[in-house]
Amino acid sequence: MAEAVEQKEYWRWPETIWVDESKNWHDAEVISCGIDLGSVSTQTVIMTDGELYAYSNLRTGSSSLDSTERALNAVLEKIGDMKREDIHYIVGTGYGRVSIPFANKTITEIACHGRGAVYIYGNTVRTILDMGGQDLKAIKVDSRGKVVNFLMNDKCAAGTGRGIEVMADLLSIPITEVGPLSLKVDEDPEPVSTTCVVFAKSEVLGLMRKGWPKEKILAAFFRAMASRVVELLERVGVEPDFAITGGISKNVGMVKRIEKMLGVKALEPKIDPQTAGAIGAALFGRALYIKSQKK
Amino acid sequence: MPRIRINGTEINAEDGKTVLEVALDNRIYIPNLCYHPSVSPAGGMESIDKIYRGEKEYTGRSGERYSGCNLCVVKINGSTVKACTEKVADGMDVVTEGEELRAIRQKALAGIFANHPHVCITCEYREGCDRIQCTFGVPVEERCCDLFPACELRFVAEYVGLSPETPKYVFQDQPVVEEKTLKWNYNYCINCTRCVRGCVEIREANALGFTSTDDGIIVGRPAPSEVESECKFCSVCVEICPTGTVRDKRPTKNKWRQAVEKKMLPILKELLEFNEENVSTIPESPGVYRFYNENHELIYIKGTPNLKQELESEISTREGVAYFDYEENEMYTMRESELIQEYLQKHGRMPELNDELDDLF
Repeated sequence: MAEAVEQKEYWRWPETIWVDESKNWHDAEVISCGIDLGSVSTQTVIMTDGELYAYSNLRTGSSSLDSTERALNAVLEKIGDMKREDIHYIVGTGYGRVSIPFANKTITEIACHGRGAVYIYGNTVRTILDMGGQDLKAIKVDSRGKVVNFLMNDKCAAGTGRGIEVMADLLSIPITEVGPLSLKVDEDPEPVSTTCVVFAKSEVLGLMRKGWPKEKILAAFFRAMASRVVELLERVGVEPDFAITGGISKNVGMVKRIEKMLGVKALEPKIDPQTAGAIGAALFGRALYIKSQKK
Repeated sequence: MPRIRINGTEINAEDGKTVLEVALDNRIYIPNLCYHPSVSPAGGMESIDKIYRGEKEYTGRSGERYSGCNLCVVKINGSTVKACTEKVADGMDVVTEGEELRAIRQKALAGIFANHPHVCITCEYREGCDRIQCTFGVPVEERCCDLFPACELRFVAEYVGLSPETPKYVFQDQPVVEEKTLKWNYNYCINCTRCVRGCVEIREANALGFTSTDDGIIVGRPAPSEVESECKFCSVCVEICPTGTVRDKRPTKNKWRQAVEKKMLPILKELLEFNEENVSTIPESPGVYRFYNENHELIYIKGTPNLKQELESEISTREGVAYFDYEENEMYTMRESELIQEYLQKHGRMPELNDELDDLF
């Protein structure tokens, strides 16, 4: 039975745990940790002297406390000989910040995402689109990585990770495949009239009844979602370089459409762009630790 | 120096100032809209016989005056007057709040909202919404504009409160005019004439005006284009507009524009002095708190799972914080983002102490 349930969960995206094995953390002066507890996923990042050393990207469970414990322990286990006490400073961020009891400090998401994106994409980045599990954020930063403008939407799931998870389930296509599949159309069909996640089911059923193939339905959905995202970006004013973070940055179907509508290419990430918030948090952790030692 | 009383507090008022100015100087908020500290009161200017919104001509009567937004009504020695025109006099007893005043203000506001989108102001999802898609299916033209997080009209409306008699807004398809440097969407115009006064008094141009009709005042250009109207492209109108009617096509800076003072916006929440006594009364619940400096300027926004605990630890370590406010909210991180968004929209940077973190880099 359990297996049957598993097979139906098309929305499930793969979890990651990664360690840079070329480094020895014992050589580091400052070990900082950032935990970004989101509504859908939780990332934990360990940095050694401000360089990425290890991270995990896991699904957020129903209990936030368990999720953070699990996320941190997963990284520590993968590293092997690092214990929680070895970490000098832990910074928590994200919607579930409440449940990081072992964090030394919590910092606003916006600041963490901005800082993390600058680390991942370099200091030429000016416009960051964060497409998370349940919200959308457009952040503008200046050359020093300071946030100068910010617009968001957290009231509507259309264009967010959860919206795409629902689509994957409705069409019975694994979530990692919806992006590439949506590009297998010669030409994008008209966008669907509503990207509302609540109405997605009837919309999809309607299109299926019309005989639309799945890739065409996905293309119509992603186009509508992308145009909504682009509208938000235009309000904040897109200034190159432009980068996308968050889970949807891994959905090539969304990224390509956003780039096309904007006429701007997004920077290629060197590091998992879903970890931006946690990286930012870890960077703040290091800076705060150094500051505290100087006193 | 005249001594007056506002809501029971004795105040030494500066001679020659209006009751509204004196109240605001003393951080006593009186709702107002057509008033702006950088220009003269609304009633001083006369209408012209026709104006243009783009190519569209509007004819009316010249030589008439705009009667004002009527929001700043107060009681002085028992009679109802407008605080923006009434000069202070020794012994005045001013009352700024009350049922009757509230009713007058709400009626005035209802009149403004008959011609201005306002559905978003009363929506419970208003914050954290980008107004690109509406959960309730309200048509785009009936929604508020993207300036919502920083909109003066909206804050005033939240302070005064919308009466149930507020009419539904019906889209009137007013002109949307693309000029060289500006974009005018007259659907958002409330005809408060602030831009007209800014144009005439700050830039000493005459590139905006208003005419008077049976349906009220209509603001526009004296000629069909900005060039014919002899616009000097200073963008003071953008700076001074309380709504999203006139917008820059690209950001500009100049001395006239920078001379426009920042208005005091409604105090939707009373500030508390940042001391141990006040902090001890704060509940141990999740929420967002904000810090203010001596000048009541917002300097920090932070969400926390435990307001009391966090504020107690802040009081021993923070310097330069004079006041604070807070709100309880289960979804405190979301609320924190919403408040930061509002601040960034108004100021183009993070609050001072939030920004300090980035100075570490």
